[in-house]
Amino acid sequence: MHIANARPLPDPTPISQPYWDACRHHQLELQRCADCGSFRFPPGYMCPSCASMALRWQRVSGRGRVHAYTVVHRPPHPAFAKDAPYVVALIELAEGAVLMSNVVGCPAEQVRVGMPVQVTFDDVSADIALPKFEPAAE
Amino acid sequence: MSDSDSAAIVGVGETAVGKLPGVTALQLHVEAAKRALDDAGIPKSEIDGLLTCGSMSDDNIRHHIVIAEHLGIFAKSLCDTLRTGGSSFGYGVQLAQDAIRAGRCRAVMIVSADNLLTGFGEGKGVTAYAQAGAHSVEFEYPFGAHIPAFYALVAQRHMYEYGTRPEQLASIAVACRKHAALNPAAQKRTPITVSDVLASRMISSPLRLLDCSLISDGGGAVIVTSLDRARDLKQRPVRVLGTGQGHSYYHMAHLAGGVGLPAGQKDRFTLTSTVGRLAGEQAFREAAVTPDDIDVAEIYDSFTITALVQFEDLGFCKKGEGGSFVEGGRIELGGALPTNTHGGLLSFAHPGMPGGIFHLIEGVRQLRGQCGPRQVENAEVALVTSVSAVLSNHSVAILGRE
Repeated sequence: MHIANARPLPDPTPISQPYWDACRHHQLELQRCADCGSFRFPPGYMCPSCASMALRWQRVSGRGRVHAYTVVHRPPHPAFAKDAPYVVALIELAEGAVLMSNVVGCPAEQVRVGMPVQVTFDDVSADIALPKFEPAAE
Repeated sequence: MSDSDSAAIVGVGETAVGKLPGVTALQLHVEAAKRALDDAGIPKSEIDGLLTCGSMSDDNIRHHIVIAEHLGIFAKSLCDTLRTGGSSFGYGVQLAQDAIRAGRCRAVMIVSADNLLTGFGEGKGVTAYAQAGAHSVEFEYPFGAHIPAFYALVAQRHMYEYGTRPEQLASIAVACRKHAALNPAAQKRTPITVSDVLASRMISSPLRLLDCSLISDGGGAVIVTSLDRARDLKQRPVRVLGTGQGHSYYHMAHLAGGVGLPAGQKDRFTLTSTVGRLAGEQAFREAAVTPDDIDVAEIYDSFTITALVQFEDLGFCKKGEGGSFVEGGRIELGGALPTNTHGGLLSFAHPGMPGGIFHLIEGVRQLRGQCGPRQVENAEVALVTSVSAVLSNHSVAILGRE
């Protein structure tokens, strides 16, 4: 297997394209179930709570809390080396869904479980902006 | 379970492990298989079931029949490439046992090998896994996450929830290395201390280099038959007493969010309370034994935290008490639950998907009394686990001395 040189970037799929389109416009959108109201992430075809297929894209607040975090010192790929050490975290959004991202905008040592955060966007290419999270007021 | 219902492991074999330049994954499969056949003293013509696990360096969609060709095993009533990654071994034993009990197969071989170290070059094995979609290329990898970071998230959360300390995790690495020092075949044998672990390079907090498994070349194989047949062969049979499986999800966020769990049961499974619990419950129930009956445990240790969480989920200690459980020599030879007596993935070898087969082989050897200086005296019941993804695929096998 050949190890690719380029920085790993998301390759949107038909179901995730709306998510990445919204990110490119610096908005966070998730699918919400029209029947039970749950949000799902990552994008999919079925509500994992009630099995409804009626999922609709909806903008979310971008607010959340850190559920777990780690400071990566040894990156998985040379493309991340210049950012190291950086924080990888699981963020629990106010709307209930959880996603993986980076916590930015503060020293890594200040990150805490439960810390309130707000989404910010990192334009990593012409097509892709990655949602990342920075500390927010309580 | 009556004798006629029982399956037994009759042959085990493993290749050299570590850095094996110029050796292909295919060759390692064949060498491991040959050693298991010789160990069992069973004619190759009797093998009518074959399970493999693919290979990072040399995979294809027909892997199981490619390997069958290399071994010249023609007709099989069970043949597949298991795709549960590192957790394939208890699963493979379960499939073998079911096929034998049902009379579909007489002898099933499970073989797995890879050259994760020389196949990709120093330091690239982890990148290879990330790129292959072992974890989400779209929603996880772009944030600079990798397998060590995933397990670090679990470790950090465990520390947050239960106050688990780095010293406690380190004691798992120390125990595995202590055992590897007694194992001439192990890749890393120089004893280490808790201080050594805490001084080793940080990979992804809180996991340091010595909290992480090795990356190696190597492979192993086991052969399963009925207990009746086992009694005619040259090794002391090792009975399969019980097996179990538990599987959850792909994205870590799904594990953390309790996605799909009924309302009111959202805490049933979390980042630190895994479906390994299901695998353990099933295996203990079928084997009709409890954690107290286990004399030796071979616990999948891709990272120190992997093992710590399993001690809790398997019921050796309460949830949250894994830290104190692994302290004070309890999991070392001479302690109440000697663990990873061959050195584990942390010190014996970790070729990636094949890693768990070494735990299975060691469990068998312990029950045969073949472990020399690392032998657990009077070992009668062994528990073996294999785990994959982020503690999201589990299989457990409980073995008994005949």
